[in-house]
Amino acid sequence: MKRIASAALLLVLASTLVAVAAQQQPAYTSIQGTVHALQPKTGSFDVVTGVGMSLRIVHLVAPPAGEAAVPLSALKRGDIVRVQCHWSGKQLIADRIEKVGPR
Amino acid sequence: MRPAPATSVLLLVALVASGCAKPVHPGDPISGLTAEQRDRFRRGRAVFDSVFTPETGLGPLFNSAACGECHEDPVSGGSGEEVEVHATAFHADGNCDPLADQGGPVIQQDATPALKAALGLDKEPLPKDATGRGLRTSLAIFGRGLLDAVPDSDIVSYADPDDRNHDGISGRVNRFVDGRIGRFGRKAFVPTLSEFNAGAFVIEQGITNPAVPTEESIGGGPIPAGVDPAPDPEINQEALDLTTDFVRFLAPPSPLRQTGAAGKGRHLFDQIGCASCHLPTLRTGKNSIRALDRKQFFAYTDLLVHDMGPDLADICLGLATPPEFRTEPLVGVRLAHHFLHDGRAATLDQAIELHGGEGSGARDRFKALTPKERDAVIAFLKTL
Repeated sequence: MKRIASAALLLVLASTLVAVAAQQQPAYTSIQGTVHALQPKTGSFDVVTGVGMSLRIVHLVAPPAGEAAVPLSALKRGDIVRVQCHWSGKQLIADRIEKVGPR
Repeated sequence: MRPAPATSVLLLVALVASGCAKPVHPGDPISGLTAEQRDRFRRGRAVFDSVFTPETGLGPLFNSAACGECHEDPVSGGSGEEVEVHATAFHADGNCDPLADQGGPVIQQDATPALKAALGLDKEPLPKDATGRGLRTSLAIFGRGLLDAVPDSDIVSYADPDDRNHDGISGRVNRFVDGRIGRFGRKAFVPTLSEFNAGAFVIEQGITNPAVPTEESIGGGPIPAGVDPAPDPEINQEALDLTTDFVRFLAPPSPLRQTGAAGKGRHLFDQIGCASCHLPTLRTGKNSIRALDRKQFFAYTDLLVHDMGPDLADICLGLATPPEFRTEPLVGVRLAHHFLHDGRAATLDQAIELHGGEGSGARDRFKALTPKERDAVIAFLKTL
């Protein structure tokens, strides 16, 4: 009985920790916006996104060559992109970049 | 396809006739709302008029402490005396940088005492890379729920970017940063009313909300620790939704009786080409809210951006270049005290005379009218 209670307590504690960790990560797994800047040397790029007139710059690290639908080299400032991404713990990693259209 | 003038006149007559029975006053809700929707309108107005303080989330940068502070004349949802500052950078390759990494495009003009103490700033600095600065008056927001409900396809159908009909007017759609068609704001940049409001809470008052859970930067820099003690989001989803419902359900005021000179002015408005961009009526699409479902309404806009000439040019935004502005909806223009995007015109005559670019043809035809005819056009506008 004592073991079952301890296991249940651990389970609750673990679930809580997972939930807290999830809350600390940026929520998006997909963003759509305008390419603002490209940094080929660091393999990263910035996208303008936002809500209404409140705009934000999102910094992303591009996936390795060959893994994106569109490579970083094919993008230019002003392109509209949809990016599937995940949080690595330090930065947003783009898993897939799709060009939605030029501006 | 723009409605033919004759069709517009028939619709006008029908709408005016239907409006005769029960005139809608500024600040009234649209007709046909359910009891629950009317309750949300009333409760939303209370949030709209709420005055925030630093303790309840105001700032650290802001333009006003309440929505109703800038939209107050003659009632909540009307216009205001406040003028705000926008700044962006327009590049030679045609790209527009909203300068989001430097605090743009809205540059707040006030700061909380805590921010002033921490950084010595009494407003947000103008971005160093700005190529244009625009002043924006606080306009009345009557009828915005109806504008929100116009289908994108209708807006696209009014566009004639290459002026294929050779009428000198080549309006085009603007697009948001994610590519969606815009319609709100002086540059028709923002796609929906709910997004416009959610963004406005943050950029105008520094009130974070579930749709925009983070504060604006301070000219691109971080907010000093301890300056903004209110936990984010500073309002909840219900408060945000109520505010949007208040604006969504705010009716366009009924036009005044258009007899005599005003009646003649209505025809002249059409004849000299004003109605080519200021389309008298628009129609909403299918909508889950019955009061907004497939409704014909007075709008006097095509929701497109038009090149208004170099004298009015200020900032770019989205696809809109510095001289391009959205056709201003003229509903409720009789209640305004200043005209054009920055309020530079003190009278309607001045506003018309300041039209350039695609508006220059209609302006010149207006100027060629007899004084009595010009007065008739102005008399008509003062009924809207």
